[in-house]
Amino acid sequence: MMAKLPDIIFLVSALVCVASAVAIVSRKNPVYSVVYMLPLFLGMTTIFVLLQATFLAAVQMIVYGGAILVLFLFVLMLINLKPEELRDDFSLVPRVLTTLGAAMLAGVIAVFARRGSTDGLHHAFARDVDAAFGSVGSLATPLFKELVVPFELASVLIVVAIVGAVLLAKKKV
Amino acid sequence: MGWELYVLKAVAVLLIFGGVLSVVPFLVFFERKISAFIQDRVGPNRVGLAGPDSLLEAFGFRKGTRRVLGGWLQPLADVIKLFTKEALIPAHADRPLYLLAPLFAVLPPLLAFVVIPVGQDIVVSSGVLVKLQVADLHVGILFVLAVASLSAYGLAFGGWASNSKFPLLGGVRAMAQMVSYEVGMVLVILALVMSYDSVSLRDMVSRQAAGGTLLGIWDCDGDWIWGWGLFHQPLAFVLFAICALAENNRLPFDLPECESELVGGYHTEYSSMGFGMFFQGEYIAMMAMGGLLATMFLGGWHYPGYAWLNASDSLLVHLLAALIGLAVFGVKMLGFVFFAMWVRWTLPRFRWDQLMRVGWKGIIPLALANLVLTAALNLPAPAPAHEKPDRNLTAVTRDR
Repeated sequence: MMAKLPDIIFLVSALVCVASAVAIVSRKNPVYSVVYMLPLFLGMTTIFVLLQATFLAAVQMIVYGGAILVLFLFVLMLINLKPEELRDDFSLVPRVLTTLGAAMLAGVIAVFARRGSTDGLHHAFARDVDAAFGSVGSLATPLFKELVVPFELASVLIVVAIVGAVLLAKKKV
Repeated sequence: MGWELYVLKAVAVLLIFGGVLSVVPFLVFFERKISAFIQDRVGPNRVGLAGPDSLLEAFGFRKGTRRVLGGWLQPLADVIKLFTKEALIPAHADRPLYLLAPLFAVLPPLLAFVVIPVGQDIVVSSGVLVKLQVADLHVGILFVLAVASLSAYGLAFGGWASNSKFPLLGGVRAMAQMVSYEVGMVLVILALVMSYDSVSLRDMVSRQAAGGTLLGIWDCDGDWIWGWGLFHQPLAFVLFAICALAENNRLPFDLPECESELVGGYHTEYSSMGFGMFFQGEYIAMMAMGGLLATMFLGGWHYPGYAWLNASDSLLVHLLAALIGLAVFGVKMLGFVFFAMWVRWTLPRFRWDQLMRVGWKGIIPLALANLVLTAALNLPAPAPAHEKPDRNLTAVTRDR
């Protein structure tokens, strides 16, 4: 039985996501953690595209891939940790969380292994949608019509957070 | 969806990428010639002496004049030199990232060309339609922004992986600068999206050809150049050109490589094709910005008389119109590249604090003002609520 192209793309990008997520938490050098976030975001973008959410895919890349990750990298490069300053030990919390995550991943793989087929994998969440689904207009219309109040409130929240950050940074010690 | 579609797409991709990559060495040559002209020097004039100049002389058209195109084979010599040079990797460099970084300098700007339309669809015969664009994504401009934001990594990785002080400073500067100017650029593009009512680059071009209300006030005809974004959004045009220079790290914004303080900035430790790829990436990015500028502000492939040529029934005339359109698009795109070179050899470099001040206190407030103004001027006339068409949704369904 031949697997469909979207299924293959989904499987590949999901594997890339999981592999790079594992790499992010297991690297000793934080710069490499940031480097491995790039394939993670690329994989997630691909999955967004498979789900017809093209606008979200673009925003994911612009905001996370472009802006936030660059800021992470910027801070890390400013500090520029030397090898002897990097900690070697794993504390308990990441260990427990990593084990839990690995167990969940194993569970998901087991489910698919029992089904014995990757056919129609993407149908699990992508249903038949009309052409405008996931585009700028279809996202903007509810945001600026039914959901306009929570949307604007969220922007107030963000402004408050920014002002708070500036205040904290400017505080005389 | 048959295999022909994939073949057609592959051909389109090869044509666009191959075309862009083969133009780059000549851009380097022209940059050297233009800089020579501006500084009253001769520039490269040795390689390829038996070129167009000698031919002109042989046929008696010019005698004893300066050889304007004397060094026309210089790009080839440069490429051979870069390829055959030893590729040094510094002993303390972070090897994988050091090798990965030049790739990030070249790929993102190349990818931006995927969505830039270079001509209208040509109907070759009944039903067979050739699109002069690799992919007509309906997120259009957002895709360009998404891949453009990746190009900061080439500089950042290169700077960090070289593991030496000058490149690190160059990389840090590159990131801070690109994030800062991206904000302004996105705000400028947002105003354009508002006035064109679409994020698709193809829609933007056709909106400019359709004419409309200039600055939201005067009605204008689309046949002549008055429909172009340059006249609809003059402030946005200027701001975008400035941001484009800053995003490409061109002078007066070339703080990341800044020869006088940082030796070579992020590419100090690179030699051979590693450096060659950074160099190439800069020129490709310049062309991509030029293509974007031509698409959003200068009417894309449109020129006065285009509609008149296209009104004909003959396929040959249509092809001719498209061909002229392609050339016109190239001229508009390379016009920006020429502008960038002109600026490079005319203006001195900003100081770091000046650069940040221009970005955050100059461009961003102006872009915000432009955005508010555009929103106010483009407010749709109030219509009865029940028969108000949903402009965004209809635009999107048309795209598909």
